[in-house]
Amino acid sequence: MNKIKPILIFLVVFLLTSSACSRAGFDKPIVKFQGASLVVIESSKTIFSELNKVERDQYILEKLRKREEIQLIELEKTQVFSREALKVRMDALEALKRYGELLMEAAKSDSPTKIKAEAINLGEAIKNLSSETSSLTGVDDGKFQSAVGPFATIIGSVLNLFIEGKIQDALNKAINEGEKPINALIQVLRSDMQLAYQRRKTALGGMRVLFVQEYKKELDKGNMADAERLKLCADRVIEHEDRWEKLLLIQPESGLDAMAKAHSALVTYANSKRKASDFATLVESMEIFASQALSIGQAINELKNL
Amino acid sequence: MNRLELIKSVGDAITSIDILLGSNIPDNSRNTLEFHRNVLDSAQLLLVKNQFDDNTALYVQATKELTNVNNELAKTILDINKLIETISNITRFVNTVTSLLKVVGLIF
Repeated sequence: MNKIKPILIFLVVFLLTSSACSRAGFDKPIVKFQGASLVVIESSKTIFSELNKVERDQYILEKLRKREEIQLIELEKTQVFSREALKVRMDALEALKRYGELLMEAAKSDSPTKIKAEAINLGEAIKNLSSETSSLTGVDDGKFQSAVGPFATIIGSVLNLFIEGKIQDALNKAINEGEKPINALIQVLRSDMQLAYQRRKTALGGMRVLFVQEYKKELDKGNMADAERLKLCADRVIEHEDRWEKLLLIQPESGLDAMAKAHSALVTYANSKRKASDFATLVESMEIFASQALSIGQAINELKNL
Repeated sequence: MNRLELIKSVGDAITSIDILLGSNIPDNSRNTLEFHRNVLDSAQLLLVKNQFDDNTALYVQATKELTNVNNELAKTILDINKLIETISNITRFVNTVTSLLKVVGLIF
């Protein structure tokens, strides 16, 4: 997978060469890319943060359906990730986001002081991430730990170059050495996200049955059925079926896929003669990415409060 | 069929069971299906929470069997007139998943 290198190539091309377009003109696709990436990463964070809640809620609803006791010891066993494991995954997403922002800033900013300050802050965050990740003990954390180690090492050295004011060296190192560890980390997060989605699907499927059964229970009362209650139950079925339909249309990894396509557009541009028409294609691609990211972000947010 | 595909396959079977549970079926069939759903739900959670080797010959063989059962299930799942056949296929599916969990060492 080649997700990071193209954007870095693009950034260096932008930084080091003149082009047919003005600097201000370049800001538009960069800002679009940055904004859309932010939406994709925030959506991913939403899915992770909801993972344990989905399991808890499913357990509680199942107990309600069976009219059984809720036991915290059983509830704890349903949790997929420990709180620590969830936190480091969200910290990793945050670090990826800030790293991308820093590279963008390096490409367009005239302020080395600002870049240095952010590099120092991000360096500290990555040190913490590395330290917290190494203390994880969950059976599903091994791959994540294997991915964070190289990421922290390579990105740490890139950040050191930024801190030393060697912006071009930092960008070159990011291109030559940053691609592999970043892609490895994204792949692990992507895999975890797909698993989270599958469990959400199972939970929402169970709720479909629950709402239909609640409707039937009222309906079975015949003439004694409460019309308002029946209408309420029907409304719940309608509302939940809408959610279910939306869930089936969402593919959580599609945000990352859209990001990958945007990267491809960037590398295509970097490899072009960078004429006005090439630039127009680039701008269009970033518009599409921004639109897709927005759509995915909205869909995931709609599913959030269940 | 890798780990993620297996997890998706179990999820698809659960979705099929949910459709039946949300329909007008006899109580004895409902009880059987609810039992199978719980087994598959627990199996899926186990598969999500644990890493395992999905390249062993035993695992590959077991997932082939699962694919066959899944194909049979797809033929009848939405036909309420074939409920008995569907439940029989679901039972086969659940048994195959249980065997898979043993193969990968998640249950004994």
